[in-house]
Amino acid sequence: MSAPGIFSALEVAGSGLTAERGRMNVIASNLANARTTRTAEGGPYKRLDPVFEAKSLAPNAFDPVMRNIHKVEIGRVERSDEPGQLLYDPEHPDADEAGYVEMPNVNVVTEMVNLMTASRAYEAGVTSIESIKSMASAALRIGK
Amino acid sequence: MSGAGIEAIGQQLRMVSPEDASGIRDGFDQLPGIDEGSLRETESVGFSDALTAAVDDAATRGHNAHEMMQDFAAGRLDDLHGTMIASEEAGISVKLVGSMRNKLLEAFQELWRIHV
Amino acid sequence: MDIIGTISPLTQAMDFHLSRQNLLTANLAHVDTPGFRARELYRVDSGFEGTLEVVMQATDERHIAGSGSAAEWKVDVDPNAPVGPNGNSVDLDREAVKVASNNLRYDALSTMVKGSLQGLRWAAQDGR
Repeated sequence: MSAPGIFSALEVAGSGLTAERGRMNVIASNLANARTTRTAEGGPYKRLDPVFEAKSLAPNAFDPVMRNIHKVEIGRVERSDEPGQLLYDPEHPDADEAGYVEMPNVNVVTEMVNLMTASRAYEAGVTSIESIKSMASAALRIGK
Repeated sequence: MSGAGIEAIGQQLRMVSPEDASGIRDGFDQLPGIDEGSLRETESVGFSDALTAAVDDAATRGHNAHEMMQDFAAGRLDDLHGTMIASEEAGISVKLVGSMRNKLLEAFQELWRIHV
Repeated sequence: MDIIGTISPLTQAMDFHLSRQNLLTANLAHVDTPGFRARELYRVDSGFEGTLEVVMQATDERHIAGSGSAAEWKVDVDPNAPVGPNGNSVDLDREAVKVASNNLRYDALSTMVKGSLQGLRWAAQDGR
C-alpha cells in the first residue's frame, strides 16, 4: 500500500473501533467488580486502565501521509495500585483486624463517563467508515 | 482501423486539394487576407496527423488503463479512483478516434462529390 | 488493446473476492465460537507482496504470474488475527472492515468489466 487510499483509511478506522471495544470490555470488567473485595490474588479488585498506543501503518512509505498515519491499538492494560476506600464493617468476611474492608479503587461515576466517551468514539469510527465507503462509491460512479 | 489506413486517406486529401480543386483555390486566392502558401500548409498538416495522434493517444491510454485494471484485479494496486478515471479516459479517447474517423469519412465524401 | 483479454483476469478476480466474501461472513458468524480461528483466502502466486489485505505467497517458480484461478487460491488461518481468551480469533470490527473493503473491490471490478464490455459493444456497433 503505497499511497493513502480507501483501503488504508478503512484499516485505520477499523482499528479505532477495535480499540474502543477493548476499552468498553475493560470498563465493563471494572463496573462488574466495583464491589469485589476478594480476588484470586487476595485483596480487593484493582481498577484496570487500557493504554492506547499508536502503531504506524507504513513507516517506510514514500508518501508523507502514509508515513505518518497510525492505527490505534491497546498496547497494554495497566492495573492501578492506588489504595481503595476503606469501609468500616467488622461483620464483613474480608474485614481486617481493625474492622476495615478495603474496597476496589473503582470510581463508578468515572467509569460511566469513560463508557460514554468510548461509545461516542465507537460511533464516530462507524461514521468514518460510512463516509469512507461513500467516497469509494462516488469513485465507482466515475465509471457508470 | 489501422494507422496505415488513416495515412492513406490523409494522402488522398492532400492530393485532392492542391491539384484537382485548383478552380476553388483560385477563388480562395481572391479573398482578402489569405495567401496561397498558408492555404497549402493548412491542407497538408491536416486532419490525418491529428487523427493519427488521436489513435496513438487512445492506444497509450488503453494500454495504461489495461495495466492499472490488471494490477487492481491482482491486488497489487489500491488506487480506486485513479483506475476508474484511467479506464474512462481510455474509453473516451477511443470514442474520439471513432468520431474523428466518421467526420473524416464524411469530409472525404463531400470533397469527392465536389471533385466529380 | 485486447478487450476480451482485459476482462478475463477481472472476472477471475471477481470470483476470488466473492469466495473471500463467503469466508469472511462465515468468520463473522463464528464471532462467539470458542476455539474458532479466523480464516483468510490467499492467492498462491509468484507475484510480489501485495496489500495488507491479501498476501500473495510465492510457492513455486513454475506458477504463472497473474491474478490466478480457483486452483491458485487457498484458505488458511489468518495469522494476524488477535486471539482472545477462549481461543476465538474473530475480531468483529476487523472482519467487518474486511467485508466492507472486499465488497468495494468486487464493486470496482464489476464496474470495470461493465465499462470494458460497453467499449466492446460500441466497437461492435460500428463505432457510432
